[in-house]
Amino acid sequence: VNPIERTPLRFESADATLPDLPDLRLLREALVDASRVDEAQIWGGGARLSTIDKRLIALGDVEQRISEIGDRVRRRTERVMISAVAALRAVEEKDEAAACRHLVAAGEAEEAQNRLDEARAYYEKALEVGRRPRDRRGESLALRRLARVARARGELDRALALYSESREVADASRDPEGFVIGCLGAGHVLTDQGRWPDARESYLRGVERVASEESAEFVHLCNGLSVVERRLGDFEASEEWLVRGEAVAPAAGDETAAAYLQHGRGKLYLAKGDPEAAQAVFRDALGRPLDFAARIVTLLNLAEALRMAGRLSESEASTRRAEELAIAHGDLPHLPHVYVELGELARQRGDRDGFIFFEQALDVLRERGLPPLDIALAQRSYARFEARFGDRDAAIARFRIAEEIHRRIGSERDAEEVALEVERLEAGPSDINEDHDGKQ
Amino acid sequence: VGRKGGGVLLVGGDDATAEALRAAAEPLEMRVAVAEGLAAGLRKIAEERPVVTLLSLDMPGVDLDLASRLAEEGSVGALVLLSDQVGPKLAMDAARAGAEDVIGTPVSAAALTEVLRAATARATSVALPDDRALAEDGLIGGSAGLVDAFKTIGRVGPSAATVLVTGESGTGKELVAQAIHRISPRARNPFVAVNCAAIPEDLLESELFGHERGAFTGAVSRKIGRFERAHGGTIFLDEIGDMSLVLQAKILRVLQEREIERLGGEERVRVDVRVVAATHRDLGALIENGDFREDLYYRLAVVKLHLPPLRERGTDVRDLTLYYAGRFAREHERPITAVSEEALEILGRHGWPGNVRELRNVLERAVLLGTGDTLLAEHIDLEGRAGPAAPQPRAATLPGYSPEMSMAEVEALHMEQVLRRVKGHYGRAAEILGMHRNTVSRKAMEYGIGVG
Repeated sequence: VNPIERTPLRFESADATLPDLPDLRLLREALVDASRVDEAQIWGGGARLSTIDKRLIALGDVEQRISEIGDRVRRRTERVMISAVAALRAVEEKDEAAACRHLVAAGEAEEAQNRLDEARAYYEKALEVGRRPRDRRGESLALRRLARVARARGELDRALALYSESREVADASRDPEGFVIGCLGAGHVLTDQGRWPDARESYLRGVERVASEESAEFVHLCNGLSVVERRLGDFEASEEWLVRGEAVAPAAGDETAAAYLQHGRGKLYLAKGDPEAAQAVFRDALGRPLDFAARIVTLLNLAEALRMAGRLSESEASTRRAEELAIAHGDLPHLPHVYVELGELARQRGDRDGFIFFEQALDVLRERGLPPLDIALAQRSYARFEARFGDRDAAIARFRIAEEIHRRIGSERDAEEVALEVERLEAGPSDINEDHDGKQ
Repeated sequence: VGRKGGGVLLVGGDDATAEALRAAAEPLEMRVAVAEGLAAGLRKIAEERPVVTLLSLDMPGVDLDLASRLAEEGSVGALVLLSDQVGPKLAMDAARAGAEDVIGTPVSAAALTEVLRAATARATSVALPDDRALAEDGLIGGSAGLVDAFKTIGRVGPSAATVLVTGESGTGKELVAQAIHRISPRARNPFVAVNCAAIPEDLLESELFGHERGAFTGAVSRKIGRFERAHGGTIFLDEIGDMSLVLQAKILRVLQEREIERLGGEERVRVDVRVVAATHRDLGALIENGDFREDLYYRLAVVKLHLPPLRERGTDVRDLTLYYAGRFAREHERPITAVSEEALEILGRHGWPGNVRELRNVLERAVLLGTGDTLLAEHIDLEGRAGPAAPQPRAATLPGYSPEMSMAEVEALHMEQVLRRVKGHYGRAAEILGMHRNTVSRKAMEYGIGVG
């Protein structure tokens, strides 16, 4: 084929051609990063519906980056091996606590590249080794890491059991920091499950034992408690926890924790039905230094606030900015959130073609093995979209899928909320406009 | 008056104000006339018919009632009031009296320049059409190309013929399809549009023909496809040139047999649907490359209708501007009632690579940014315009580029991209490429570059 006539590959074709293997994950990120808007379609009628699938891949860019991608793989492998050998050395020196820490470090290198199965294998070994010594802090750490992987996999009951065990081990080994982090992790899992009073209980146990209020752990606990109170409808208590967290966040020196608080404040305004105030918070957050993931989340929050205020064009612009950022960083896990937001926008606009966004979100979620909770939330949004356009059967089918996922991962409260939505759908009009999306 | 910017009349006011006015009017090429008393002022208004009149409220016999009568009578042009006691109440009363502006004295030349510029723009603006006119659809204009398209719509609309609409992106192909449907005997039945380029390849078939529950992963329930939904009406297949050969074969079958089969289903469903297809691509070239079925092309192109790009539609830009400015002002509840001549000129000069869709976006943004009752040149943002999916602001890579290419191949590829971007305009391509226009034209011939 004459190169001039060669049509660049679309992302959807590239994606369909490659097997879904962890080894190719970095290459896929590079494909996303090297994708370009099809300029011939910019002013076409379908441009408003554009998604990652329809972008064109500059394969030349990817080819040029192969050695860089290879380097990242090599660096990870090297880190893992260094940690593994260090663990062996520690075993040789009978320092099992150190061996456990080195194995955890190997797992963390795998987890950083989203290789959860591999990470889990190292953490399990770390746990095995960590159970032996007198200093059980390594054991507690390994349990927490295993819990984190289980949560990312959507195995919420397992995650909760692991966090609880880590807390007990930390308590027994006089490791207050490990105990507090265990409380925090368990609180997050209980929040995922919609078990708000239990989550509150877990966070409060952490607050009772935290060594200093001027610590990142305390700020995260405040944020968790604020979320719980907000979800329970006690906005005043939610506000109080935010204020407590904000008062110590600068001294804690953890920017991530501060960003979470700001996120929580914006969400609180949204829950109170004040999208204008929420917008101000999110815009303020965007004016601060944020890493790309936090920036994407904030842009999506801003988009939601704008959508709620009926400012749909601006909401779309904010979502598209989040999409660009996710694509520029090859960040596939955030893309489904982008597309669900665009789908919500299409629902509000009455644009039937918006189903494309939900399909794209589900496609990325399924293909990448992303958290089941995200799949459930996407299916619920999609169900409301189907209902909006009168397709009750499809809406009910999607709600049922979401309900099944919620039950499987142990979020009974969410499952009940969905069951209620199905009931209302079966009894009432086809258009469900109220939002019950269960987002945090 | 005789000068480019028209005349400005100062009635009353002191020497310093007259001096500042002369300095302000100079860069705008406006002629200045000064009347010291009210009687002389009224005489000058009748004689000069100024574009802008500055009337001092501090002069004996002048008050807001008089200002209101003068503004209503209209021969003062844009009326700007001067007073040494400007406050919120006077500003409000002056606006109510129909004055364009009220400014405090003493006043600087720079401030007066701004006032004159805005007042002139408003005085020479074009009023937006009324609501009745806005109720019409978006096929606006009287250029030869568009009139030809209207004639074809009128001729083929009432028939059952399949129509192929061609034209660049953003020219309004869907509006044409809707117009054809509206004047057809199928008007009471559904009009269903499908954008074949936007829907992912693996979903398009089920979207068009429907599916049974469980036909594939994600088929959570039975789905009625768009062909079935369009039964008795019209289906608009936009961007048909982007459809895969496999689906092209299925569309051809529907056109021949008037039946569809849902994915995962066994029964065949009869459909009575008129097809209007559209593309911005050169189907002839696609057929030559083997990317589009020739037999499908002949089935679709029973009647061909071409929509000209906006840059070839002359004064249609003006009509469309007034139409969309009015529509967006109403939609966004903005008080805009007119568009300044200067804004219309700027819009008329633009190349509009995104055609009417781009103009629409620019005007929606302008209406949102506009502050007064007139859309001014300063509200028109052609630099920052962005399509619904603008390219990322990053170093572009040449689509189709490969490190194995020779320099000549890369040059040819780059030239083709540039020529596509400027829609085949050799002069503009020459500017971008840093070559003489004749070199661009010679090389394009040499490399066999056609701009489709």
